[in-house]
Amino acid sequence: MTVSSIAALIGSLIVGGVVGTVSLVGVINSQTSPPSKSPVSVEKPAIDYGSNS
Amino acid sequence: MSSPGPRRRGVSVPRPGRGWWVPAWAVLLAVVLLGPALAPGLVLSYDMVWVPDLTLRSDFLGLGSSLPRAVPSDAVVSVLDEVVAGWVLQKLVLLLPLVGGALGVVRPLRDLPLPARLVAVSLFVWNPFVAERLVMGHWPVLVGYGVLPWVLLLGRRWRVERRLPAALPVLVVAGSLSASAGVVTAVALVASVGLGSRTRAAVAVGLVAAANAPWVVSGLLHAAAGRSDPAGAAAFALSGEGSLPAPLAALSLGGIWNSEVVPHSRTGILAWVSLLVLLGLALAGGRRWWSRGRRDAATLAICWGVGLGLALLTWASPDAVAWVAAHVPGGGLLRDGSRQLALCVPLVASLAAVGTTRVLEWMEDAGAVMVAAALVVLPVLLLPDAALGVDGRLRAVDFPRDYADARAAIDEDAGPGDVLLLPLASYRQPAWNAGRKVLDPTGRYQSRDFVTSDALVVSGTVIAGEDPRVAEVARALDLPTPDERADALVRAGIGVVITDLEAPGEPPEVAGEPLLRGSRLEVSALDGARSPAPPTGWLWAMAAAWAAFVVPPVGVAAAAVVRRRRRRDTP
Repeated sequence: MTVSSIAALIGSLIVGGVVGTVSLVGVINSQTSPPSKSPVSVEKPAIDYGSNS
Repeated sequence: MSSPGPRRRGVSVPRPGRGWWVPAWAVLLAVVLLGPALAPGLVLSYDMVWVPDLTLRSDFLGLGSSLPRAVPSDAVVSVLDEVVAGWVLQKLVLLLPLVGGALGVVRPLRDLPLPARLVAVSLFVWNPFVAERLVMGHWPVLVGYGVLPWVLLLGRRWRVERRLPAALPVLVVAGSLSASAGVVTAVALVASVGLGSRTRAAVAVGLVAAANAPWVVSGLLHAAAGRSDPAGAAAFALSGEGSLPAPLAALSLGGIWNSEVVPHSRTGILAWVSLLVLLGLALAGGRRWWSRGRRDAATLAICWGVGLGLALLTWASPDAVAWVAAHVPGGGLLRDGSRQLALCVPLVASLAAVGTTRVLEWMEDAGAVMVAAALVVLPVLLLPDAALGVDGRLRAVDFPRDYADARAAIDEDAGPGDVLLLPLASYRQPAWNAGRKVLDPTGRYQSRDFVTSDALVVSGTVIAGEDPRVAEVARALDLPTPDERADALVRAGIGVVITDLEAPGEPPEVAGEPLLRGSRLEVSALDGARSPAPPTGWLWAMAAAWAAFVVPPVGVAAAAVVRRRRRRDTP
């Protein structure tokens, strides 16, 4: 086994791990994220343009 | 842009070639990103207000009482949608800049292997800047973003060939549909053309001045009211995203002030991974990227530095930005700092492409294929909730019938005078738009100039507006009786009042003749109003500004067509 093939194997493992982890985290994040919008309060006279918080 | 081609070490890097991979990948990514936004109907999100048929009016030409925030974009849309249906035009405006810009950003990278160019495409189309600005509705900024790589390319060609490319004036105009987009385009043009020739530099500055003339001249005419509320500087400054501090968010092309539009994946570990991947590719490819052509690299570095610097300025020194906004007419332009991050993307994309090339050279064939595929899709995996209309936040909808009825009633039955939109608040969250926030679309839907609140509320803090006419109308609405309010509104030039029944708040009653009582909108007419006429001097000034805007692109394009025909006819 050459040095380059070992490097390729290690690289493949690392990248594969990153891609797998990232995909899993991405799916979990997207499935468990809180609602991006909240209902408007009937008592609130103006709608916020946005939020800094 | 010259390049010594990829060095190979035990790996067969795919040969450079044309083919359909790059455009196909760009189209695929853009379509998946926009998703439901491309369905029939109109997308309404925050500042993105499109209507079926936008009618040209004096406000859109910069002659109204408010600051020219939508000049020249509204005027351009109102002209173009006479040719193409409004909803079709909006799809084109959303899709073409992403695809066209991606093709432009890879054009100087044609010598690189295909996966490297696909990485550049992925980064250009699929990044936090694009996702956040799409939801925020800043479509003129995104048009400028799509034009940016081509302005850099043609500016370079102008510098090298010493002949103005015919398409450049057209692109500069397209990239200057809003004030902040105009700043981005101006920086890119000046950086790429350079100061080597005074004549060329002067012409470049002239092109920029002409393309930005409508909003600049209108802004100067409104100079007395053109100073923005300093509270906006802190509210709209570059911001951190999740655990990512603002400077690092900016490095990874995020950092918009409004946390509501930040994709959820940007608030967790994926944002950190994204930053590390970008830094890794930059480290891998930095030296070779620089050696590919220093002048071209310097152009991209200047753009990146200006974009990042302006963004960081709003974060590091909001007080200084607030002072500029409060004392310098038009200084409020600077306050939304992360808009200028568009300038950073060409460098990030090309650096990542060269970094990818280097990484592939270190790999064996089998590993290289896998790594290449992973790097190409990594921007998508690191920002998964940008997909399908940024997680469903961008969706096409149809306006309820009331809007068309209101327009017809006003056009047919109302006397002269402008339109007042009530309640006097700038934003709406209509149920028919699935509760998504949008700048009140009622005014743009009908055909007259309109008055609406220009104050903004950010996290409960009110950012005051600048339009003196809104203040006059507010004083009229504060009067004790409906008749007194109506009289005062007529004196302010208001001939029609449209009340949005779904909007929160209870607008004061105004005595007028009912024209429409819909389930969502009520329209009443006030007799005796006359729309205020702008001073004659303003008309001349804006006519000159619009002539400056239109003449260079039309003139240069016409000259190019004539030249081409002569060449063709010459035996």
